[in-house]
Amino acid sequence: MGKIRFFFGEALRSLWRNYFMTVAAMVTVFLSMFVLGVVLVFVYNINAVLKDVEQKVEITVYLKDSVTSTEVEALQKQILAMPEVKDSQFVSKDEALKRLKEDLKDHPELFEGLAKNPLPASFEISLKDPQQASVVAARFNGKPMVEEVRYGKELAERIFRVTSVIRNISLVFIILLGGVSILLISNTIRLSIYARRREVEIMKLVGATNWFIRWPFIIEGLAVGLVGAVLALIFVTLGTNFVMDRIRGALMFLTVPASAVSVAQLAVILLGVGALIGAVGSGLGLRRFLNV
Amino acid sequence: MIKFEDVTKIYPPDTIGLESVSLHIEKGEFVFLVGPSGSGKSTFIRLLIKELEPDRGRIFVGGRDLGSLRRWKIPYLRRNIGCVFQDFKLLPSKTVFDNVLYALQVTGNDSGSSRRKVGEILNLVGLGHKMGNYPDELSGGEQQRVSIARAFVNHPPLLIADEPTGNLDPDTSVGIMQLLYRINKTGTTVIMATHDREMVDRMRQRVIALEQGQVVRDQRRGGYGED
Repeated sequence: MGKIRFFFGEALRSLWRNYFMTVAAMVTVFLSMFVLGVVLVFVYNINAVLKDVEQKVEITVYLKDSVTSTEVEALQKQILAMPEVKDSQFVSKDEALKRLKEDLKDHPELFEGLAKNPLPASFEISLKDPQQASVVAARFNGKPMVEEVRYGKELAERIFRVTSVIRNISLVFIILLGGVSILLISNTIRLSIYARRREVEIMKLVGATNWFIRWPFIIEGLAVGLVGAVLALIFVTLGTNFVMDRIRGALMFLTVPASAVSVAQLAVILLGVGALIGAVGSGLGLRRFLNV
Repeated sequence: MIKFEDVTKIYPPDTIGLESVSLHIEKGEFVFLVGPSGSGKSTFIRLLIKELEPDRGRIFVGGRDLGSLRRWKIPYLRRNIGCVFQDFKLLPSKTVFDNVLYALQVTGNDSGSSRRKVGEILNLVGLGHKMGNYPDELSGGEQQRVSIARAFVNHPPLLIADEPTGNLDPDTSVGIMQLLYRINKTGTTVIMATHDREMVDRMRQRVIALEQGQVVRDQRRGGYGED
């Protein structure tokens, strides 16, 4: 117990005494974590928008005019029982006509000569995973009461191609950025340890074990990493709130979800990465100087 | 206490540190290690604390073969050997008191009694009034006394001093010598490498003279030069 207090005391004292290095390392962590945080928020939001776009992929099953209401009810039950289906809505012939009239209300003349309702009734089916559209759609082909199945095949496939490319690019970007952050931070820490290599040498000569020397350095790294990451978290959160408000104001048609990434999630990632890099970076940075 | 058996150390590519050195130092002895720069004094000392490994031969300290001592056990060896260096090697970030205390803390001793011990030893070396100062606020002689206090606070069986008076004026050197002499009188073996001819001649202790890595003279109650 006394040892732990000693290690923390040593760490705090040397953070204070080497304040220039402390600040330099904190700024490095702050900048790296800030950039990482911004990119994470960006990627999360793009992902949310992509999901939203994908949700728009629906299957429409057009029914023959001859279907009876019991058949409709039976089919509805059957559809809702499919595991991939999120929701299914029946649109009657009358409903379909009403919608069309609503869409074309500037041209009432189009409907004047209409003797009977030419539109078919249909089911509009939304899916839990829109990528399953072709599989689910195929089940309706050949059913006696089904006139036609549509799910915007081409459009859907193009959307999925684009979204998967965007997702892969952002993943690569995050990994690269993480690597760069680790290098940058551990380099700064190594520099600050290099400045104190004589101290380490003396400690070894007096008979300190490697871990006895190492712990205060690790605690220092941990503290620097945490403080830098907390600052980054604050700035990222404030910054994204500000920017998101602007974007929502400017682009009404994009339904940007209110919080694609929660502050808690971001906090766990940034603080975790910051603290880990700080601690591990100084633990490893010390290694060369311990071989006395 | 210390035994060298045909010890050779060569610095790559072919600089001789020590060559075929065999000697024996008994417990409680006071030994001067003399010789010109580059004669192997520092190599001798660095081998003793296992900062270096010999290329040939065996070294025993306190009956233990250093060659078979595992790396992780080196700190425990060093806790039994007090070291005093020409450049003091004090931690600049710690006060005089904390510098000495550190030598006890590394052994896991941070109790009230170890603090009392630090106070006692600093009084003993005459620095009781400067415990709260930092090393750079002290004179060279004072810093050296701090480093002797640190080396001795554990009461190690062996104390090694590498040119402890090398940076100090003659009067201050005498004070340091007296301190080492008193430490030796408590039963601690003292090995001191030095250039200080006058000091060696006055003390009349065992003198081991090195030249180009070889022992050229080993004399009880000797002086610095041949006599």
